[in-house]
Amino acid sequence: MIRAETREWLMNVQEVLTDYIREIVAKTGQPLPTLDQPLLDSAGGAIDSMNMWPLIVFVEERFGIKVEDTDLMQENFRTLRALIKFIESKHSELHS
Amino acid sequence: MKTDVAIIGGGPGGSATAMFLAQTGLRVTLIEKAQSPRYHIGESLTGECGNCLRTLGLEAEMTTRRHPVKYGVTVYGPRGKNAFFVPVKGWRRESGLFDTHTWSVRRSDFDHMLFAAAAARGVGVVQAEGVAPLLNGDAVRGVRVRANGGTVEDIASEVLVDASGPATFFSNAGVIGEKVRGSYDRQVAIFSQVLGGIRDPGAAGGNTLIFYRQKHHWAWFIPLDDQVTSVGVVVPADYYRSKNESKHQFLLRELDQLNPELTRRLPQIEFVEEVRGISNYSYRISNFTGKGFLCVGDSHRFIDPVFSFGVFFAMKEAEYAAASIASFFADSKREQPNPFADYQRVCDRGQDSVQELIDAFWQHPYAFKLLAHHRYPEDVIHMFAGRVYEETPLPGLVAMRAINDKGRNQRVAHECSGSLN
Repeated sequence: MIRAETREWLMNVQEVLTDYIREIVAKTGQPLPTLDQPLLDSAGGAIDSMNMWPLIVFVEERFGIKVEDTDLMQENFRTLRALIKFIESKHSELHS
Repeated sequence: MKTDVAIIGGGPGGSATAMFLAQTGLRVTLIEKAQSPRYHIGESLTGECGNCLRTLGLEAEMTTRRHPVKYGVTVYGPRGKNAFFVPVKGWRRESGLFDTHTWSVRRSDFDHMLFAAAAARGVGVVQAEGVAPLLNGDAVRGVRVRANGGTVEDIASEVLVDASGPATFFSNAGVIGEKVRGSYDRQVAIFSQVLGGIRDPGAAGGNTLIFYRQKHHWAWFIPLDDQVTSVGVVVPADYYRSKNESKHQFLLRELDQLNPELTRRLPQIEFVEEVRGISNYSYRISNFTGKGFLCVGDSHRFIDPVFSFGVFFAMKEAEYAAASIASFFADSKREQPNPFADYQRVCDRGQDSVQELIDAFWQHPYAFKLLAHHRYPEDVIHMFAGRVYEETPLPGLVAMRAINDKGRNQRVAHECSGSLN
């Protein structure tokens, strides 16, 4: 059972990330990806090795988590859903 | 015939081992079967490889021979985007990183230069083919060779060095284990040389260019002189077979289609060399030293050509092998079960470090770039500068190893769950 404030926090994560990605695709001219469409450029998405670092810095600062070296694997950035899940798991590690 | 050290193979590993040993006053015999300089792949040298040549006093000759000077490597991402430049750097424990340059070389010329330099420094040269090692129990005591005329001769040695490259003389003779396939065994390389090709302007004209298409699919562009450029593509073997083309057709089409930046650099393609191919180039043999013998370079391991570490390993291991052999001769007892065990550990450390670098590059390309550009940029430059033999690994290497381990564990877990279903 997800607590109300956790659910709200998660909704907020999705919203914040979507806003961030919206700014990136505005520059690349791509449509905003859905939760399950690819984020990474190797699969046709808008995130490449250049704008991935600012995204990581943003995620760390905005959500107060530390992205460890071994978290840099592309599976955590494949889709918005994967990224949200990753942030959620880092967040619950911190607060458990 | 009797000698202190016999070396099989007159490529960079063999000739460099011979030259380093000649400085110690030992009697050295270099055995090479080829009559004239022969074609070889592996033309781009790393910065530290350039420094090995300086240590051997060959810088002036490299300049006289007008080998293209290399200041770095530019790697172009898919669709020609996101290029990044890796400068050639040297590193010394006392003074840290320093700017330097290295070279790219036509291997027939370069290998011949090293071989001739070894002969000029008092190394005995035998033109013959290694037939079989001479054994005494588990110790190697020399080598039987056959000259081109067919004459067979035994050369007795205290130490026999296998520098036979991909021919892996000791492994084939059963002195050491069989080749175990490496991570990049299912790849093929198709390559030739072209006239022209648009290089970077000015001093950067001798730089190596790498073009990435996608995982395990890339091309190289290496200037060999003012006119000629070595070009090649590396692709998965299945992909190559699926195209059903001749090597010539395949290379022409790939050079045109692989990466728009490469297309731009090769407006016309005129091959001035046969189009050649190699496969199964990634292998290792784990235990490559013992009583009376050791291997250098490709004769025990080859990983992947992407970062041009091939000649570097041959020459660096030559330096370590010569030091190890010299201390073996300085030890009057010589009773150790394996006098070259330390040498083997050092080689493994270097090759394992580069293996992690290459595995991270191919398996985790995003993580590799984030680590190399943002989290550990210095460490990665240090490793490219040849700092791969550290007893305490650099933090950037530790990070890459951790990511590779995580990926390997996930793949194993995935395969196990697959086999249960």
